[in-house]
Amino acid sequence: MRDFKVGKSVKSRRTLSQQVSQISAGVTALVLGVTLFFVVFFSQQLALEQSIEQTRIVTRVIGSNVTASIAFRDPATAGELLDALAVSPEIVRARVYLADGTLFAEYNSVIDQSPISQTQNSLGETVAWSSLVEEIKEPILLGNTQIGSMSVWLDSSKYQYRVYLALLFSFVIWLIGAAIAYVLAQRLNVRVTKPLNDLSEMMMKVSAEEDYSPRFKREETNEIAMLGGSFNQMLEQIEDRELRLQEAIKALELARDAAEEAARSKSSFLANMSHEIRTPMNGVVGMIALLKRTELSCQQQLYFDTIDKSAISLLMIIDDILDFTKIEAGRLEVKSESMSLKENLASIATFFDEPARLKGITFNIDGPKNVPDIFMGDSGRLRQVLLNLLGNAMKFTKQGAIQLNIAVVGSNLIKRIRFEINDTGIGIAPKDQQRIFSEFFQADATSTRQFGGTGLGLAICKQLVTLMGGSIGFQSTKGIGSTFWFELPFQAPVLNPFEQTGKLSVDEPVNPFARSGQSDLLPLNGFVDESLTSINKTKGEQPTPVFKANILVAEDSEVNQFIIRELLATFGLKPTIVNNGQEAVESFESNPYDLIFMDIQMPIMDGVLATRTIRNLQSEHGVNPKCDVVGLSAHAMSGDRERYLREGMNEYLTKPISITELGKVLENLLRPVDEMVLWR
Amino acid sequence: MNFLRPLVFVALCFYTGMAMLAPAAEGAASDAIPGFQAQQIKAAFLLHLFQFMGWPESKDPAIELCFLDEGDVSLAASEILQNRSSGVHIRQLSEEDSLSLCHVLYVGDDAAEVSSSRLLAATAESVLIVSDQLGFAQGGGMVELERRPSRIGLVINLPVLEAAGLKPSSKLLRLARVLGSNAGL
Repeated sequence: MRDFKVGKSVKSRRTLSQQVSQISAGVTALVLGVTLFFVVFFSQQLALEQSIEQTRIVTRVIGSNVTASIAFRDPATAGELLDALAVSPEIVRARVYLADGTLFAEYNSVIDQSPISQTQNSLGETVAWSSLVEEIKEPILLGNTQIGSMSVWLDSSKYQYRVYLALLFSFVIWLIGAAIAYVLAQRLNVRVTKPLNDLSEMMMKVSAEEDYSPRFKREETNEIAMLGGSFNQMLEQIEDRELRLQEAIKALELARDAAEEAARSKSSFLANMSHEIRTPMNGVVGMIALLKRTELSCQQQLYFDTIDKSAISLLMIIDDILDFTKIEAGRLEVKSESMSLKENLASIATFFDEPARLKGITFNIDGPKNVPDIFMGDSGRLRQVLLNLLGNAMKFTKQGAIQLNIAVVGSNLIKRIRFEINDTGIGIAPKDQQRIFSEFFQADATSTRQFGGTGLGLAICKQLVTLMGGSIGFQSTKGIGSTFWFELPFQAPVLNPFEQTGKLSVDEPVNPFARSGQSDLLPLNGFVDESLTSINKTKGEQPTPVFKANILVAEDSEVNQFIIRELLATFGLKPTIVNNGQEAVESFESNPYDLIFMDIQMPIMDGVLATRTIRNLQSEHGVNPKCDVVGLSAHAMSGDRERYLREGMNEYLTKPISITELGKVLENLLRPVDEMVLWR
Repeated sequence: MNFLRPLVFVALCFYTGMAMLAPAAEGAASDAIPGFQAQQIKAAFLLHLFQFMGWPESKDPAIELCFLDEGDVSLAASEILQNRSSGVHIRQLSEEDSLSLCHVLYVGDDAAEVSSSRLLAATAESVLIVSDQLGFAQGGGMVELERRPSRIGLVINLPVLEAAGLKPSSKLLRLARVLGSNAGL
């Protein structure tokens, strides 16, 4: 709207008034000029012709008068008669000839001797007259007899001169006439163009200020007034529309803000709820893990297993919701690092072997014969998708088999790894197949009751596969089985001799406090904590190392304080426990700690800031420089680990904390007490 | 032809006896227009003279140019007329012929004397009398062919002409030396 250009174009800066004036003056000048030219031309032509005619008459009269002179051979009298021609300055010469052609008498204009003489040859004969000289020849008759002839030469240059003079005069008249015409035209045009200018100025003003309230007022009832009226009408319409548009925009903005606020509230609510639910659940799971390490009867063992499964299921659901809110908020990132397919498949196999055996169905992984083991990708997210799809297959298959096939497909240039999960489950009805990847969707209401689940699993899978640059799909026949597949782009690993399979990618930020040999295994969100399972499996089989160190734990949740205290106690450690980051810093300043477990989310001062302060104290004031910091958080978002390591933490553990992970961290950061092994 | 001279002089009482100058004058006149003899010029003058004269209505439109004798001027006139049809008739007058038939009467130097009564009668009949005798016009004659240094001029006694009912053309008068009324009869 603001680009609309009014009036002044670069091409023509002349106003309409000027143009009309110029056209009028031009036409007037042209007509006047042409008229003057023809008038002058024809009047001069006429004057010349008249002069010639008059001279002819004079010639005849004089010729008649010289008859007696000729008759009586009196050239002197003839000469006198011819001298009378002096009154006519145009006549430059006159001659009277006898009948035999003899020159009888002659008259020469005194002034115009020279041009005539120039046109005579040496013999004095006329050879060629100037084009400016007209010759008039008349016979001299006496009675019926020609007794001689008379020639008169007329100098038309006199007329030429007069023509020039007249032309000059005409030009002056023309100039004055054109100027007057221009001035008059301009005066008259102002009457026409003034209202137009007013209208134009008003249009510009309206356009520039976007104020549609002014109206064009004009007393007359001519075309311009009509134009003004139309413009006013248009202004009214624009004003009306502008008003409605503003209202509509305002309403839309309100609606948008409300929708955005609602969406934010929803996401925020979901995230908060997930976190709030997860925190006590961590307590439950942690407590179960601790209880299961005590002496239990068989019945109690069975009860605890059931509680454990239920808690893990609940965590899965919560993690699904957390993932989903993250995906929706666009905060989910996928990594690209070299990973081992074999390792991933092995852990998946151990995860599903037992449930499959219990359900009495065959679970098979068709190993990747031609598939390279190492490729670039996000192993955590790949495992999440595989576990989700296999979990579904396991959930909906009562008998038969579940088969996972892996193959490399596509051309040589663009290779893809295809994962295919075949089951002999209940299948999906055609009417549901369209919406199977939609969030909160489940094949039918009864299935929810029969099989459970949030309906987020496949939606998350689809989002994750899409994020990884792949595609996902399925074929299914109700009652016979389903085949879910997904394909990921195959990227050969970036070969780096210093990088181990599954380790941090080379562009990881360097943390001077991070120690070698650290584990990067990202705990699997939303699924059974395999470490816990493995602890169950290895119960009583593995020795627990014992450490001796000063440990500080900063944790605001009392449940978590209790759990970590109990977990550390299994390693022979007795930590000091504080409630927030500030207390942790204060405690750090006065106690020589070997290791600090720092919760990320805490009141007063969070873990990140506290770690930063501690690192600052260490590097700048030399306070306890050997002390390490391990982060603790229920947030297991992609990039969190890297972020916290960047902030100066040496390690990072996700809640619920597994004994295995804790053991690994302790082994990495502390020196175990020699020869002391605790058998469980 | 000398016989006419005393007659005219007697009749008009103006005879001055200048005839002896005639031969010298003729010689001079013959030089006026190269290649032409004086008599030829005179003849031409006589043949043109009537054209510049207004005649009374009573006169016959057919012009009669009369000579009293067959002199060289008469011959020259005849010669000129031979080559063209001008409507002019040359008449040689005998003694008894009436002058009233003539339009123009030439009285030469050498012409036989003519009675003054006859001349007077001719004047009354509106006959234009022309002579080359010196002082002819001054002496009461009508038109005199005057010898001038390089040419022959005309002397016209206008009152005499007007008394005879003749009206000379202004063109003619412009050429001629015109004598006033006091010069006439």
